[in-house]
Amino acid sequence: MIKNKKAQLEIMQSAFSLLIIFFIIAIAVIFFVVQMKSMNNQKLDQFLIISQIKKSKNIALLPEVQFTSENIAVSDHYDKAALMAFKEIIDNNQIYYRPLFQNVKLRLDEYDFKTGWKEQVIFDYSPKQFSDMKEFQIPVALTDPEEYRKSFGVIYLEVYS
Amino acid sequence: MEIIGVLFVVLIIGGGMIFFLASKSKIDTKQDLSESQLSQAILNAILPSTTDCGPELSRVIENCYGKNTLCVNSCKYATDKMLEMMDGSLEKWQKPYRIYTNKGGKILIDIDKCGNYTEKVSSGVFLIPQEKKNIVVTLDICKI
Repeated sequence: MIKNKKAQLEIMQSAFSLLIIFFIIAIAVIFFVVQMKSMNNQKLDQFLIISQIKKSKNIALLPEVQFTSENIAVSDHYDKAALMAFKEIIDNNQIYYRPLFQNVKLRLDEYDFKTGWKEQVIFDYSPKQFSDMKEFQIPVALTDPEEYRKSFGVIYLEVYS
Repeated sequence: MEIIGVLFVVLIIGGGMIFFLASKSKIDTKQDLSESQLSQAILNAILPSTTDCGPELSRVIENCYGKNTLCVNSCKYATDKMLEMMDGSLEKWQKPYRIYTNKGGKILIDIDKCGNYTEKVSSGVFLIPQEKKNIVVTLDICKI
């Protein structure tokens, strides 16, 4: 009778030990999966952000619209006449520009000392359906080459994915 | 009984680890990258802009520390126009800011929209060279 009870206790002890091992393994697996998922999400987010920044840099550094002084491009400085002409250039050369910009909308807000802020769309390649949109604001100096007047503007870049 | 105790401890540790991982804050890469040079880019763009009364805005600020006669009242004109420019940019993007001019400790233009947010995210400086003491225009973007 006593031997039977002792054996029962030993079986229970073994069962509990197995249960603990099972729980430890389960927790380790959950821990690993959660960590992997979190890392993958972070990598995906960073990849998306980097690709969006790349697109914004593509546009910000376009030689077609940059202001040049003695053939040297001035950073964050745009030629207003070139920017307006770019509207037409992009319409006539969609085969080249469309794959370069993909799903992007570019608009310019310009501050005029007399009339205040005015907005104009340079081009709009925004898709009808999208899952994510990030807006980049690029403060720029604009120069009107005809009157050589400088003004403050903001280029809004909406990148869709 | 001891085994149940051990099991309980293991469960608590496991639960704690999962909770820690789930609540770990994400790094806002975009914000870090875009805001680092924002204030400097704004200052570089607004100060050389040509005003409707003739000179560049930096010249108007320069006059504010002198005769104060350009565009009727240089100091008031520069303050009003900078406020309008900020309304259409930083204010619109809901970024609190402070823009001020300083010449040897004398602050004549000071637009402070930081309110209770005193910690700076980025700071830009534009120097207007003068014979004696330079005029320093500073734009601070505050952390929300």
